[in-house]
Amino acid sequence: MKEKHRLFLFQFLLTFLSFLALALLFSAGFYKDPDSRNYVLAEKKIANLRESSSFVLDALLKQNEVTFDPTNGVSIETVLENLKCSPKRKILLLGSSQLVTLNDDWSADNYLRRVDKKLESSYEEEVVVYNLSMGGMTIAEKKIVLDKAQQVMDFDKIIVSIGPYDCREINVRPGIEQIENKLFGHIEKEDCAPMEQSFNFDIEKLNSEIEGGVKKWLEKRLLFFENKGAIKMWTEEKAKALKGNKPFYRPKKALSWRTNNQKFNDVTGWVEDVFRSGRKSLKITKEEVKTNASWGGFKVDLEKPTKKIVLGGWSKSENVVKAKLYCLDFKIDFVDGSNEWIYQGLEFEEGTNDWTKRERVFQFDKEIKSITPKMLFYQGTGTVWFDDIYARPIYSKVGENVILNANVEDESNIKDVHTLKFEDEVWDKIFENAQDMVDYVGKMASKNAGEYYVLIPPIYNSEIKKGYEQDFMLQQFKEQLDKACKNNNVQLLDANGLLDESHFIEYESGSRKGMIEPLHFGTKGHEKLARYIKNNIEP
Amino acid sequence: MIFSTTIFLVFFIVVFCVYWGFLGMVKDENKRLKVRILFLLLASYYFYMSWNPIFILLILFSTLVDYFAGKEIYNSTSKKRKRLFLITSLVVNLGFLAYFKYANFFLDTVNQISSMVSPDGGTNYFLNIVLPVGISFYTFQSMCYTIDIYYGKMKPSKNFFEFSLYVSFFPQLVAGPIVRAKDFIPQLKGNKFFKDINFQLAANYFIMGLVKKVLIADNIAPISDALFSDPAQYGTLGTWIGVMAYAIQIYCDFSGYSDMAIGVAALLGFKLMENFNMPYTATNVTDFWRKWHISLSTWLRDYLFIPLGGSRGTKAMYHRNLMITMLLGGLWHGASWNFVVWGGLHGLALILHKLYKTKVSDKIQFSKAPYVLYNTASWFITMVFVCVTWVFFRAQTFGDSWQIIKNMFLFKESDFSIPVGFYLLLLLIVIGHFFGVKYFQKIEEDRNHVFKRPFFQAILWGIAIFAILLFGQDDNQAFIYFQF
Repeated sequence: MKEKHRLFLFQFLLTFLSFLALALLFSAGFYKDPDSRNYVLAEKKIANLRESSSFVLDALLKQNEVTFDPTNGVSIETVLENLKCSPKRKILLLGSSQLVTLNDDWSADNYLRRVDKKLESSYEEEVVVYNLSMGGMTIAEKKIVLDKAQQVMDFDKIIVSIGPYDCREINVRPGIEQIENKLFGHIEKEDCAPMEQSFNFDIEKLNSEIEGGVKKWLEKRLLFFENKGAIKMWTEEKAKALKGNKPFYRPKKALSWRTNNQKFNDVTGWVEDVFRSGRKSLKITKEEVKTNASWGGFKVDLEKPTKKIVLGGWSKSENVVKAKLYCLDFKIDFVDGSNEWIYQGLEFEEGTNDWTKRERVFQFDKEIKSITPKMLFYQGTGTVWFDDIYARPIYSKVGENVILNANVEDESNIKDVHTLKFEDEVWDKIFENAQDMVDYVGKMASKNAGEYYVLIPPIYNSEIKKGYEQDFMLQQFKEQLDKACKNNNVQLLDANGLLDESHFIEYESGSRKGMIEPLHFGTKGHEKLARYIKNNIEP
Repeated sequence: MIFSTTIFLVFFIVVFCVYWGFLGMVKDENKRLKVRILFLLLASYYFYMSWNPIFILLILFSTLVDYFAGKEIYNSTSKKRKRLFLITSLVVNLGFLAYFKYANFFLDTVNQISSMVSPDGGTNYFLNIVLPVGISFYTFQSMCYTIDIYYGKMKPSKNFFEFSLYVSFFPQLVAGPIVRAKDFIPQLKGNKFFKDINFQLAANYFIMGLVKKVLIADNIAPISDALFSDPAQYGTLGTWIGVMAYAIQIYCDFSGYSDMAIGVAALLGFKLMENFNMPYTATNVTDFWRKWHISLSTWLRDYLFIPLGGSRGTKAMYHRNLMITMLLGGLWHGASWNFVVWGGLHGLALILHKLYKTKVSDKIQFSKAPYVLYNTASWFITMVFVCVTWVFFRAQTFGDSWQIIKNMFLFKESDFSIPVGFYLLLLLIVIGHFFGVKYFQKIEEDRNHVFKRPFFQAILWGIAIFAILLFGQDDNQAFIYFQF
């Protein structure tokens, strides 16, 4: 054997030993940690969720009960090839995760409590409901799956769900891309014999069986592989904890307010020793004369433009001297694209003063699109506090305060809602894609038998918050869909405001942990939606 | 079958053992050579069919056409006849490419134009076409065979199986490097011996490729995916981080694949060309294209730029030739105007750099310290330009591209919170990159360098393999360049 080959053999051995040493080291550290069991359980939960979808599909295949895709598009081809054959009337639902997710039920059989099964059971054995919705299903994907589903069988009623969130993207996931050019066999209603499986040498299937077999063999023999996922999660958490004893997280600060150029920051400037209402206020302390400090809020779009608005708020001061500007300041963005900063009439007195209100009604000659609030303490020294800032647009009468977290409370008892907001360009895309989808549905309706419907799915709505922050854009979206449906002879089902706050729950993890998730609803929401659909599609 | 999967490992172990072990027992040298070529050919076809079996017919057809065209070109005495067979080869290969890759692009463009001019909404043409994996690579490879024969740079292969293996050799079939026939076919002539395999080099390349692809590219992908799927939600800082993440991802993904291809080929006794040479150390865009996707850029230079006229003729003609090459080079990457814009921007930058070089920088003599500053500034500007152009490469639509460019250069605030660890990771990558330059440049200068620290190297391999197994993503993200 050549010397370099002998050396390589030695290196190979050393590589293996290094690998083994690291694996043993990590495994030892992992199992020593009392929290390791939680990571193993978490990994098993993830693995079960991943496996359960193919397990569910296998079970459905065996029972000829394939009416939905539990694999979220990965095995859509298999699903379509094996759609349940039945002489009953058929209804097809096609939408996104809103029609397949129950946010209060993650069990493997949660589909039994979903809108499609609830709808089916309401018909008492007369109807089969197919639900080919998928998480994140885009318009392009809906078109493909709708086309292929109709190749497979004739549906009596087809309901396509179209919401703004779904209409942002037009990409197609691999599982759906691969069926784009496939021609599926048609199942006639009368002919429900099981489809013969024709023999073909499926290389992909062979490869995936080999891969799966090798992986299982390794997992059985090496402990490291068995708990690889759990060790990975544990390692990542330890790495995060190296930053400090606490794992990395976003510190608590007043929702929607940020400060700069002063002694305190977003966290420390949100104080609870002084307040006008509630338990908190926003503080600025300046020790340098020349700096310009402020607290800034987030831009808020008015639901409806108006030319008249009341702006105001409260402030308290202590030893304020030589201030150039100590006031409330609002940026007004107008519908015509121009903007103005308004602070006149909203200035406070220097010195030491208790809580003082400033309020003024502003009348403009053009319509206001949005407001951005700010509280200024420019130049000078001293300490000021701000609380209860408001901007109330005037329509026929004075409206509600639009400023986010106006009383600067932490809202820990009130769940904050993760509201959805998009830039104008994104809304343009949403409108374009939604129109495209309705036109497609109309084309399908003219070519195929069956009644076609477009459904606007439910979203979080409450007195305080709306799921889509730009509610007026949502209204425009609905108007457009209505018009498009009329032009295409398709009926519109508007379930947007069907559900209330009680149907939605908060995110369990991630950066939005604790915030209400505005899109997905629970079991009761699915029941209510099923009833709504039935009442509106049956004469 | 992606290189970083278990199934490929099983496949390659079988191929390796049969190739060196079982077939190595054939006594007759000529027979052994032939049998090995045939075996590798069948293995390569199996490898390709694992993506989509039906498209093997395309490769076979392309191979047959080019093999016989090559023979006819060489044997013909009439220039007209030679040209006829060359054109046949080009038409077949480019025809496949045009149909499978660009048909819907052209139809979509027609639809868009007609919708602008027609009062009733315009046309809506569309063809249901599936893009065969690797078509952009093997058609280019096949074409350069007939072109080289036409220009007298090589003789045609006498053995159909040799030529077929050249077209479909599995390590570089689906994502390059694009291999030249005159470099590869001679490697099929002589028998290969197990004792000549440089295992250390092969292992270095393969493991480095895995680290880049599985450890870095796959793990950094979610950051860029998040930005490009919803650019409007991000502020300036988040956008820059997403764009830089994509720059790292595409480099690590593609160069990682090339490294693995080189390593796998080396284990079978074949030498493939280097495809990347630390492109993010380039101090100008010309230098960048000498270091990025070298097999493609040299192909475009030799088979497009030079036949167009190259740098001969007037400056205007030179610039025109350069721009056409880069526009078509951009289009090669994808059937979308985004890619054309990407190529066009690079073409423009190349022209401007050439002008700048001849009129300004060649006339300046730097002493040491100012040269270092100048070089650093050049590198920075080049990297900003490259990152900005990647936006067009990755974004799904023009609208998204403009949104991202706006976010990058017009300050936009967001409440995006970046973990400190990410900055550390970026710093490590940048530092590692620069030190890596020195290390790999040393390897290039002295291939035996790998033997100088074998223990350290083996431990590094062990750490790398452990990290790949622990931190590699479970769902294999297909290589970015597989869409080509």
